[in-house]
Amino acid sequence: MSTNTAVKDISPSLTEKILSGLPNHLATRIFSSCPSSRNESWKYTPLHNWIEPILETPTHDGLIPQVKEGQNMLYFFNGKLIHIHLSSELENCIEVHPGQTDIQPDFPLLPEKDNNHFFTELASLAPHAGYLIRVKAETRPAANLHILYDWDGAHHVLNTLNHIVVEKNASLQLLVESKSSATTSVLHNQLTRIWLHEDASLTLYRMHNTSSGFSLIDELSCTVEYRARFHACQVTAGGGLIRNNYKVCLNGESADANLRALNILSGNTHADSHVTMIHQSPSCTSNQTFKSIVSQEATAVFSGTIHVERDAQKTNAFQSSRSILLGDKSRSYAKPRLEIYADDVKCSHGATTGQINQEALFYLQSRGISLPTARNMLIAAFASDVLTGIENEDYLQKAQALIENFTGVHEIE
Amino acid sequence: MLRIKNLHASINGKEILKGLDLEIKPGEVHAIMGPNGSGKSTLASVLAGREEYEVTEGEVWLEHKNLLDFSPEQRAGEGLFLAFQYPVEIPGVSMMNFMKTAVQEVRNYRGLPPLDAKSFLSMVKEKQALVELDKKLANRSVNEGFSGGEKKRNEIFQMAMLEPRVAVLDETDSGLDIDALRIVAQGVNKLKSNDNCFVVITHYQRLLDYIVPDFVHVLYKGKIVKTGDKSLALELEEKGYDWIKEQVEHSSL
Repeated sequence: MSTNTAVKDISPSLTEKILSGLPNHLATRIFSSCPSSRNESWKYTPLHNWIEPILETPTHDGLIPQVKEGQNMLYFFNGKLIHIHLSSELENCIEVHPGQTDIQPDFPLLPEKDNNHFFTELASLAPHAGYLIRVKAETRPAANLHILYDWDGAHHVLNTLNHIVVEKNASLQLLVESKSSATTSVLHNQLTRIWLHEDASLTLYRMHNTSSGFSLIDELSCTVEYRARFHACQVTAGGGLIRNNYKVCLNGESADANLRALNILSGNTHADSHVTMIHQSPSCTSNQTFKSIVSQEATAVFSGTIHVERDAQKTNAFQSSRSILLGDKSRSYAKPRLEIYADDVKCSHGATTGQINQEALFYLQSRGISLPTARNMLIAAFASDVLTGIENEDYLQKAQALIENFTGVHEIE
Repeated sequence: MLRIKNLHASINGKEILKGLDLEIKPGEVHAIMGPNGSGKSTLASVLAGREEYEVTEGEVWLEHKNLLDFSPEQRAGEGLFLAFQYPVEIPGVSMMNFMKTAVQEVRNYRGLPPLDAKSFLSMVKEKQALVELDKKLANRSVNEGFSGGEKKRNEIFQMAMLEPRVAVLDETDSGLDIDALRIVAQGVNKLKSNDNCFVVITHYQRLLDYIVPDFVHVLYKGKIVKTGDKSLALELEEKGYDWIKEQVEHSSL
């Protein structure tokens, strides 16, 4: 793939706007690391396309919504916490410190494998909001916690910094959802640091169902200790630029990470997933399953690295990224990468980009199923294995509704 | 019931069918045999409406409608069914969802009311028994993980579900062991009635021991060059195609 020389970078004046409000010495430090298209990890993602319109919109807030009581929930409106409710069961198991962005607990520093300082520094040095969740050792609450980001209004950049600690032999299921109104114009820059101690488990379900004026630059930075497991599933439908960085370090023996994502893209949405899976210790397993359904002028980017350190023998690491393109102007880029320094490992990667299987389509049609219905069945089938095995009914239903909504809208293309 | 008149079809500019004529009456079974590359599978594909094939001349009448004017799904609605030589595996589409959608769309096309869940399920059970397909279909994807024999039995099961007027079996016997062959053939024989007809494309006489044809046609170089009764199949089994090829070459001189 040739470098797109037509891509402009963010101009210095725009960068200054992003950094406005920061103390000078910080701004200068961050400014020097602002990524451009010459930076390998931003090669397919021309930032200015999405950031310029956001910076040019005058800022204002929408109306604060009414919040339904009763659910275990942190409710953020335009990045500000407006509601929190925890059941007594959850209160016994977890500590939540919302908004206390000055609390920055000690976290293991992950090796720097990917150049993304600009946004992570922006989020960690000057967060507007965030939370700290600590799941106490030996607790496994049955109820899950719902974090909702609701956006309505125009802002330039809102930075969020979160910390999640799951202590020894504890577990948590977290559902994080973003939604935005049609008039939203926001760049949400978020860094979430996760630390899973021995035998801990975190299941993270994420869902972005946002409008085109909403852009997200999100980094998950997760350390997984001995026998701990990190499972994350993400469904993205809509938005402007949706950039997801995953940096996962399997730090203890027999740790397990499973990342899944389904992008259902239309309009001009640009969904870019960057994964760095670091196998630091022996006998760890990791899986990456990324799928994109790309229609109209949308773009899907996947760049994933499996990095196996010299000591990480008996590693099992797998990666798969698949896209189907539905429109003439739909695009998909994939860059799978393996870096293996150990000699007794099983690793694989696969990347495909294609169209709907014409043979399967004809087979369905020959049984009397109309072309649009047959296409929709095959699109839903393509998406299905990302969602298999998901236990959270609520999440599953919402994901399926997004697929149905998409196939309903895109019957003829 | 089915009338094919002077059918010419080509793929990538190469003419495969070169003026094929065939007429089938209700209740009849016609076998089509012929050497490799004679156009047998092309005929099946053209009848079902596969896009890659271009029909350059001719007509295919099912009762009073020219099938060539219809899309593949409309042809199914009109009552055409093709049992595939290589049934496609479709991961992620469950057999039940597939069949339910197909049956309801075909019923809708034929102006019939939709089946309620209970009648649909009992229909599935009944038709599954017909071909001894004892797979739990509810949580299986279409043809995925099916053995060769199961795939072919699944084709006959689908045929039973969709109740076609014209069924085309494209080398349904290929890759089948004797038991599976018998089961498939029994299924077909039970579905045979005075309201439908069958076109059985095969390489081997063996299948015709079980599904007894009223006529046997030899397809060669895109045309039907010889027609006889079931004894023709036995003769071909014994003597091969060379004598027919010779006859054709001789008559064209």
